Amino acid sequence: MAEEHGAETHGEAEHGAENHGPMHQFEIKPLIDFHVGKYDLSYTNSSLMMTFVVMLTFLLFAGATRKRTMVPSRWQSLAEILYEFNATMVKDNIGKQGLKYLPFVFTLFLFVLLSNVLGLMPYSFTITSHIVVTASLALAIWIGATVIGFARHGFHYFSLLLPKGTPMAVAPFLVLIETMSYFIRPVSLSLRLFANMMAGHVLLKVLAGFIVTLGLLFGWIPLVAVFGITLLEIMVALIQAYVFALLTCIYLNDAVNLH
Amino acid sequence: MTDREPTPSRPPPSLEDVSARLAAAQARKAQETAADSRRKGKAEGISIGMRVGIELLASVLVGGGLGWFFDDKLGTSPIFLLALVSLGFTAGVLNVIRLTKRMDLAQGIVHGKANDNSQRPKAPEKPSDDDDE
Repeated sequence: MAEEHGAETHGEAEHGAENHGPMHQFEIKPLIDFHVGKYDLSYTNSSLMMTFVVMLTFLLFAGATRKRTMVPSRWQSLAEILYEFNATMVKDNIGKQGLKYLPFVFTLFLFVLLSNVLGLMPYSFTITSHIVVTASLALAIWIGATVIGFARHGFHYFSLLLPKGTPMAVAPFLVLIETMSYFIRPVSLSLRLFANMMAGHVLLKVLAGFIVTLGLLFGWIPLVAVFGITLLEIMVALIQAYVFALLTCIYLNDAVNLH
Repeated sequence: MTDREPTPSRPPPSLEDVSARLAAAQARKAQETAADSRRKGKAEGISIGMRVGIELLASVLVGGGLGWFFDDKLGTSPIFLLALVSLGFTAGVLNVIRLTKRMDLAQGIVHGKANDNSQRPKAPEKPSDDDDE
């Protein structure tokens, strides 16, 4: 797989020192081989990055809450700002009874946020630029929200598919559309994060390649562009994490409050 | 902070003075919250803008995928594909309309429970901007 990929990129782009095409950065490399039956459960560079993200989250909050003071230190107030941000988001979107889902939303937010931001560092790996990861997260959220909805409302949860005040004439058609829109949710949720992260990283790599090819004379033009796009990517990384958590809240709201 | 008996060196501030200072502080606070909500509105706008495009793409993809799957299983070649792609597109457009409604709500154009009091002051300046989107 890796060799094939290398050969392909070598054929179409020979500018790099080795055959490092713009897609090279997304390659999964097994670090510790581990196979169970026909399943490949190797510990990869993606897993390493996930471990790193989780450890960093843990360290951030363990450190911030080690000495709890009324007047917070900078570290503690960073943790408090993050917490308040999420708590407000959950309260605004689900309401007071939604606060029991705050740990879930907060965890998701931190995971996506740190994956996005740490992925921007040179030589690191962006977990969220793989659709497998974002789709697993989105499916877990979607299935979870559906289960919560049915657990809380029983068969009444189906009334989500028929908005209030629909004339009977268009009701069958609208139910079809609403069902469709319910099934679109996990796809758009995963696609958005994946597409944004991947597109940004490919763009950065392509432009960075131009710096080398254009040399000293014109190389500064893409360099300026790369600088600007890096700033843009930092913003995208933050906004996408926010959007992911926000949509989780919106889906949970449908499940908890039903209209 | 709250001295019941004023210290002899400082005479108690006159009521006019207090109310003037209070008004100034309130004005500053209002300005701050307005700036805050404007910033929040901008972030909200960016996040909604990012959602619109993908929403349309995903709806067509899901429609096409499901339609293709049913056609493949039932052997009714283009029927489900065509029906579900158009249905998916309809759902996508509906979702986008709902998103823009949500944005209006966030900007305070329609009264709603979300951001009700924080966004109301800037309601008049927004609609012209929103209509042509």
